[in-house]
Amino acid sequence: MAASIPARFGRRLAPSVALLGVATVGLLVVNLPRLERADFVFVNGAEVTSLDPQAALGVPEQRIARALFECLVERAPDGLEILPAAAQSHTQSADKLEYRFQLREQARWSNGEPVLASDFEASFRRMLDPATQSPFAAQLDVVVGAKAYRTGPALAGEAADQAWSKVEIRASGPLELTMRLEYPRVDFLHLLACPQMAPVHVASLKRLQQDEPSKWRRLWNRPEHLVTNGAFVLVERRLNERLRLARSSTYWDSANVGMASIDALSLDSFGTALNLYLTGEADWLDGNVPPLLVPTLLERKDYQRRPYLGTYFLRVNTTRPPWNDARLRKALSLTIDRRSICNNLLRAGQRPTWSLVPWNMLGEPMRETDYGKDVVEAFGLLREAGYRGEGAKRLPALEIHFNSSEVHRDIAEAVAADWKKTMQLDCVLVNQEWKVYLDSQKRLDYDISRSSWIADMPDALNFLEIMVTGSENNRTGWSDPEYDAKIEAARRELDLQARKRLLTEALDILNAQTPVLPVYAYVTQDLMRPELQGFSTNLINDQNPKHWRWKSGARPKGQRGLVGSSTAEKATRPPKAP
Amino acid sequence: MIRAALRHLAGLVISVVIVLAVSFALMHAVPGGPFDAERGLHPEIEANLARAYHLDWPVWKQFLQYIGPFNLGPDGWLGTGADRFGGVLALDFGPSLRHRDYDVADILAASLPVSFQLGALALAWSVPLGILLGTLAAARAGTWLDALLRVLTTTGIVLPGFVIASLSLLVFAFAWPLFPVAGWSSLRHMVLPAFALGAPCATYVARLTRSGVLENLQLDFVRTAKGKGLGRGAVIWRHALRSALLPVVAYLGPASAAILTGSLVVEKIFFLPGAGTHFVNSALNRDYTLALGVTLVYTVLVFCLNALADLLASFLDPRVGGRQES
Amino acid sequence: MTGSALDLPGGRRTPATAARSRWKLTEREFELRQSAAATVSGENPWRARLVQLRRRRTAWWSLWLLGLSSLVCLFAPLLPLPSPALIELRAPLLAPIAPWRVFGTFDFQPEYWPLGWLDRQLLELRQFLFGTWQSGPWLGTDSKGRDLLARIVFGGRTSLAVALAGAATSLVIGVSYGVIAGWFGGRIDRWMMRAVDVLQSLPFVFLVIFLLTVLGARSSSARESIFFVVIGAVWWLSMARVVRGTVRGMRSAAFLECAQVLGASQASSLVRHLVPNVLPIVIVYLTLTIPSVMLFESFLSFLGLGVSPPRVSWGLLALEGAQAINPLAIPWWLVLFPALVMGLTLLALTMLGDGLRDVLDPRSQARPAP
Repeated sequence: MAASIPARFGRRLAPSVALLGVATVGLLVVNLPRLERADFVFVNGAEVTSLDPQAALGVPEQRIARALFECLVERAPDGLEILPAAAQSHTQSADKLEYRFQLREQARWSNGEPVLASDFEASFRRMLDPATQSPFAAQLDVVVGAKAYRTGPALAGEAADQAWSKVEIRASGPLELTMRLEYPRVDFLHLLACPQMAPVHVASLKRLQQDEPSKWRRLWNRPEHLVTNGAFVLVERRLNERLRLARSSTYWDSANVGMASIDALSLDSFGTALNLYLTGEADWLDGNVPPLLVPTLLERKDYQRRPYLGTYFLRVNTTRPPWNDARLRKALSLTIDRRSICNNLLRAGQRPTWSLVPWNMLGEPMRETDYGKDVVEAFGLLREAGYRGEGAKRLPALEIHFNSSEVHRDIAEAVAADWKKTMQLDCVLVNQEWKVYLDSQKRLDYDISRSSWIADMPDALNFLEIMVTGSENNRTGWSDPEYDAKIEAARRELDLQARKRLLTEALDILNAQTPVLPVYAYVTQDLMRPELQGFSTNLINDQNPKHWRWKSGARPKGQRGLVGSSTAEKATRPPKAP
Repeated sequence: MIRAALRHLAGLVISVVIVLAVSFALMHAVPGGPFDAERGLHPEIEANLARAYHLDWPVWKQFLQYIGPFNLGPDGWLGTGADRFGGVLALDFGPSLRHRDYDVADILAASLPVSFQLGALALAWSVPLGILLGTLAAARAGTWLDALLRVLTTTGIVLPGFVIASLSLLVFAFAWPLFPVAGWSSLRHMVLPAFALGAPCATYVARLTRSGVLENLQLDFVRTAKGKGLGRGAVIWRHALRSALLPVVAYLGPASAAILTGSLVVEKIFFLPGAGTHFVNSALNRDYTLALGVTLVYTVLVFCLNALADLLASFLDPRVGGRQES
Repeated sequence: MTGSALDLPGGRRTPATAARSRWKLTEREFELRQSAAATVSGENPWRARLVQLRRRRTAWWSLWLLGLSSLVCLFAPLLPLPSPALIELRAPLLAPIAPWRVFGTFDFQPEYWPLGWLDRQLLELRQFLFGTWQSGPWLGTDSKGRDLLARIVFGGRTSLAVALAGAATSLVIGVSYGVIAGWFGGRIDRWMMRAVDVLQSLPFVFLVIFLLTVLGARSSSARESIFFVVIGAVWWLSMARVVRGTVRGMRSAAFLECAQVLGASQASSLVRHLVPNVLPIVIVYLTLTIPSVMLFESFLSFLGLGVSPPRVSWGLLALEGAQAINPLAIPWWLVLFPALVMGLTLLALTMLGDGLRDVLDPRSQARPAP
């Protein structure tokens, strides 16, 4: 026995290895997915949570929702003006409370049915329905009856219709939609232009719900079931890989849609995205360029930066002494060397900011910046509060929370170094996993916590609103009734000058109280083929894929990212045959 | 035979339930929820979401609902009609909390084949090569070849997967464009990821094989074989290697489970829609159902591959299984 | 429990002769075996082993190298290096400058994370000895202008500590667990291995987050000690499996029967004979475990579950370096030097492991070192 087994093994090893090999090859041959290259390929960031526009929380989701669905109105490429979209025109009553939208006669859903006012009504109703769990439902609170409907019990049948009849969103004709507000808002149309206000085809959704009561939720966002009214339709969806969109033949303006097909890659690693871009596998990528790479990219023509309505700031837990003292918070803010962070650390043109509202949106004068003077001022505040000079109290060590990311860590390190240098303040950096970080922020279990806010409308109110008492985005424990009153007044103010004045006053309160320490204002960073046209350059980076087109009408062949550099020839491979 | 198989199966089921229960308790004890985001949700909406996914239930009840096979109603007991059955025992892994348009089963069905293909390819080259190099090093122990192989294997162990992946990309996709940089649509796309995924495994196998063979060269039956006049090569390949592979097999059990389920790093660098990403991201996203789903798959895989490893071990060395009968 | 025990009732056959007949040993071989077993259990074999180890040049040098690098890391604050935490944003990404071009400068600033008592004393001693002199950027600087050499030296502290934690748990828990499971076999083995399967299948990210957050690690030193526990807790599993596999193969090997020839009880034969015989594979596996523990540490740190910045580790440095590499810019020193240091240390560890393996292997006692 002992002698026969080794011999047998020798003979058996080879066949088992061969078997493994054959099995592998077999596996490989089976099911190799192939797709032709799309007209335009861009890197969309993390996999979209859902295609449901009413759940489109992040930037990747919103881009897809823009392509697939069309709102009543849209923003002009500059991001400020409102243009007609699904509604060819709209009128407001004299008191600015009633809006009437005239829909287009030739507008069609992707299943061929006309886009009717009742579709919009049903879609808004779905959004407000508690069962839909739309995170945006509260944005429509300004509409008469909307808040009561969305916070009421989930109803069905007759009772639900009854409850809905109290909400002033009404199809007043087949192609006419009427909405009535509780109080006038200057930014209502801007709100309606947001992708989460796009309509879904509720009729087909209901049909699917009936046919597939248990599986409809995952079925209706499949290409074969999803009915859309936008410039593109969904052709294929591969989880964690790509979304393939194609120009919709039923779209009313399809002749003016530039791209025949678009691929949105679900990819959130910049290194991999850059590799794809450099080999011509992707045509546009944006987002978080590692600062290390910025100086290299700055030499390239296809690397573009624009101001972006986003602020990077640090929250201070104002419930923890001694940081409940506004003077100390102000001192913390004054001793951050923002210029150094922007110029030496981030290096892509981010602008130091001392207010939560970035890029001087309210037209306030540029702040004079002299770090030395600021530090002296901070020392004065510390002395006033009794933390400097004779018999000074010692500042307790601070914990700076941030979620794991190299940039956040760098900024936290730089800020900690500044505070250590100027105020001899010891800081402990706490690198937290994302959800733990959010959780400790929510529970006010931190001293300093890094944060950022990106506007979804080009409006200062969008930033200032988050610091209102009780806002789920406040998370600092700070509260000021005067501030809340100013924001509430600004919300209802129709006169733009008066509104701006109110917002400026609110901002002054915020700056004096300093519950947040603003650090810098964002820039967009795009790597993009120069031949791309119709790319919007607005402050909120709101892209409408409908307008994208190639300069020459078709994607330039053999386009490689390394063209122009000496290694270009070596790295260039013949383009893959379409 | 059948009894043994049944016993194994029962063991598997018990293990799976224990793993799921512990994981369930762990993930609900960890701070943060699936719907927490930088942009906070209105409390009512958060409550709506929690209700829709039963997150407002006590954890034990959520667990019962997850295991199945009956759906629990909102106020305590069974659902009705078509919704009566649900949970793992009814082969329903639930909806993903992060990928809202997918069920966990859809996600697994889409990503596991990719990982399996890649993992099989990686194992197919790395295990034989590792055994070959390890045996070679043992046969030439103390020579320059052994030293070279030692440096090589140490390099393979030390260099993390992402360094190997990045470097191989630089060399074979940019400097010398043999392979595409990323993606998943042809055999050529798989070469570099399979290399990066298999390299650490090959070096492990080589090191374990070398030490095993060296040891067995001093064992009696090998000496006996030598004494019988067999050549050195034959002695090593046909006698010493056999039981020298025991640690290799023990290592390969769990290691191949890990390789077959993919790696976050390799999938990220090469842009592959595999399952390795879900192992880490589902936990980071607090996507409870998906995390449990991948854990379940992994448990079953570990169990099966370990059983296979044990079987292979007793085949390699008959002494291994001998004790059980006494 | 062994075959010889079953044979005993026959009366005339002793365990020794049973083993002899079972393995068909010649008289001469049997004597050799007995003397080998005697050597193992003989007096103070460690001195002899040390001598043997010294005879192996590479292993001995490796031991020195490891000792030296541990000392360097331990006494890092004493060395005239720039601060590893001082961010110098005006001089980022400096390529290495050779010592003969810039040997050092006089602008040391003692910027560190909160240091322990010993480290503070060392730092004071350093300032007393060297004043403000610090070495130049011999290995270049990282993207924040921090000296790479200093970061590697300080990073070594984390990496070596993690390696120690992983090795210790692997050795203590992993080996004993594996030996017990493999030795007893049968039902015990099945259940013990099932437990390992279960532990191995748990989603480790949750496990780590759970241990770090729920065990309430507020201060960073508590965080770090928990972190080491976590790493140890995860890492003994595969060691247990490998040891168990080997023990299963060895259970009835000749030397154990020889031990019984000499009249050893089961427990003492387990401890005194089986464990040393498992040691070779344990050492080899340890040299494989330590690198993966280090890499695991960097992975966890990367996910935000490991060491807090500005502390670093070798793995984290290499990871940052690898991330910095792209087709447009290649700051090679950021990945080369950390990987090189880590590689050299681990190579030394491997060499030492191989040397130890040979020395500790009881079977190799009889023959001269190759």
